[in-house]
Amino acid sequence: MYLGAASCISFQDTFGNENPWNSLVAINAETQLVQPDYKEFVNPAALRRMSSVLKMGAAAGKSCLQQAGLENADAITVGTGLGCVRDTLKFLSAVYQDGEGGLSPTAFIQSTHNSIAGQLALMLGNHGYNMTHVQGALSLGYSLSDAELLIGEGDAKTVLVGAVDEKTDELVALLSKLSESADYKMPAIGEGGAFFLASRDKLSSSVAKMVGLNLTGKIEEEVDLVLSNPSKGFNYTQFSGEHFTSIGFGLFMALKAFEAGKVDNGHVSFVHPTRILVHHQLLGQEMSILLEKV
Amino acid sequence: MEIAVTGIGAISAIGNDVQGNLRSLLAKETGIGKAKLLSSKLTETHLFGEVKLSNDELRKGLNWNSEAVSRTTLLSAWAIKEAIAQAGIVMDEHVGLVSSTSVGGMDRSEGFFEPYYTEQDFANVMMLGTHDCGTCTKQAAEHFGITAYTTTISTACSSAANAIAMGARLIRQGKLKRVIVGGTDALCRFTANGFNSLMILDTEWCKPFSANRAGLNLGEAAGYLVLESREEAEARGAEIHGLVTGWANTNDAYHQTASSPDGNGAFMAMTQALEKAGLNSSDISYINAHGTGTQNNDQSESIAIHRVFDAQKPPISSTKAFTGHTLAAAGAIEAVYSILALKENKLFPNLNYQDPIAENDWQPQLEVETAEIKHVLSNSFGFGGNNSTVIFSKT
Repeated sequence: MYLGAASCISFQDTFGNENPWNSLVAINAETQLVQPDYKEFVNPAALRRMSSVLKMGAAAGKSCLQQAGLENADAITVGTGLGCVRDTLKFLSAVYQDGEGGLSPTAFIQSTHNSIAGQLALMLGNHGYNMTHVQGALSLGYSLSDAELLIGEGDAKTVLVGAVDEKTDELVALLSKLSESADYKMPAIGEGGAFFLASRDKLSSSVAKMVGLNLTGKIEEEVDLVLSNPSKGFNYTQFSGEHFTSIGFGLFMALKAFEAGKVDNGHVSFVHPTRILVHHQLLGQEMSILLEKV
Repeated sequence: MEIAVTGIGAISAIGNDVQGNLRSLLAKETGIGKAKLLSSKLTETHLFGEVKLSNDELRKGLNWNSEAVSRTTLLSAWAIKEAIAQAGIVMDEHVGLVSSTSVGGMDRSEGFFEPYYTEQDFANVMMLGTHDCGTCTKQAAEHFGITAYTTTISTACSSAANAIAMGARLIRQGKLKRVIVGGTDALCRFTANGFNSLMILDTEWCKPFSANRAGLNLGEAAGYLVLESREEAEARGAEIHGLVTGWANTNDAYHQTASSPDGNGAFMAMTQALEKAGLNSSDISYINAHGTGTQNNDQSESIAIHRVFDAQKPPISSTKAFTGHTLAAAGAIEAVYSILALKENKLFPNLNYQDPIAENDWQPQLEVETAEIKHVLSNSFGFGGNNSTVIFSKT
């Protein structure tokens, strides 16, 4: 399976940036997403009601297709660890504060995990396979695997694969209380949305071939560059913050590393990598993606 | 390659195991009534398809020692246990789990959220540790020693149908030898209030495909199937209960929650599933419809069925009036009912039907009936325009 066009919204200047490796900046608890002008992707009336996760999904998904020069993809698979956090908490607080009556359904409708992929289908007029995988830190991995299965089965030639998770102040407060109680050192929480165009055939936009996908651990192979948290190699989560689908940022940076060729930015240096390993480990789950330049 | 079903497990409002479910279906006994376990104001005004076992009873039956587990996970483990016992499979590195749920461990999380939102009390924060859908599946996998491929699909009310299809593809492409597929959802305040805010809950028993239908009843359930290749199943001498022959998932791309008036997504799902199975619409012996009892679904599904089957409609029924709409689990327990229809050569009735929908030239199957059943088509449709069809066939 080939991967090429990619679009990413993150704490870094990644959206529409050909070489994000040269503009990495340190993050802290106050760092905000570098957001595109969402009005280019979503009509303003709809935009007002949309949470961060839905906006990221819409913009990154659409722009990924545009970059691939495609009108549409045969299928959409999205991975998200926590889904629509803002709307879930919004609806829950209303349930308890309004005493289970007179509730507006908007937040409930938008709280469904598959509203990210469903909304993309709606915006793109995409009638194809539309899947959402929710498996913690493996959510993107299973979405990639699903895309591979579709291609293998002959059900799709192109698949738009996404990884999206949002953070809200309330989520961070809840996670810190939970971490405290569980005696777990909480990493800096991030958020982001990344979409990739996966294809059966090599397209003009293809950058790499996915030659390995391990959904239970490491891949031990000789490579030119390792993007990993927290172990050896370049720890990309320092720049994306940690979340269930932060590996989406890692995969995006890997694809851009093939294209960047030579990078020496004070954090990492590499020259024309041809094989890159992307690895992520979080809360007892671990996965690896092995890419080969095409 | 043919995909064999070698084990089935189910727990719902009409039974704690597959036989219990079958007995109720044949006796036309609904499981929908006053909820006794769900904590919600809506239990005073609404009816629910509640599983009759408490969390303590489920834990005891499963020898599940920890209390850090949601009802969603307990229900799933309960049905998985039955399915794998029947299949007689050994857990090794060739067995995977594709589960599904809409709101994961929300039922347990609400034990935290109530004091948190009413009194800013964080005392029960550890309950959030079982909140996310992935954790629900991971806990069930760990309970049974499943170490290979384990994922959770969450596409609202079509989730389990998608899990079944994904499992079939995993077997077909040799990624796994055996896979446990299905879905689970427990009743909780979040979904009860969500569907109430959409004003699609009937306060009486739901009436699928009846002109005077007034909405759905919510239920809870879990259902799982064990899938493997027919070759593999025969080689180990396993009994084959049915085959998964067709599947499709399409998107209506019409509205975030409503189905299109022409039933496009549903039409495409049924058509593509028939194509995958290599069947004509006239080969289908029975349709287990999504049939939730809402105005929108039943109308849109009726139109889609008409577009696919035209004048040659097989018997059609929705079993939602037995179980309630069990959301992510619906496609799974209805898969179990489809397998039972094949095995028992029975058509299951559509309860509470009163008046025909004016545009329909058919009425649903109203009685239990014996018939030669070769192929069952099961529909599951969800929010986000997510439409799925799975076809089950006799061996």
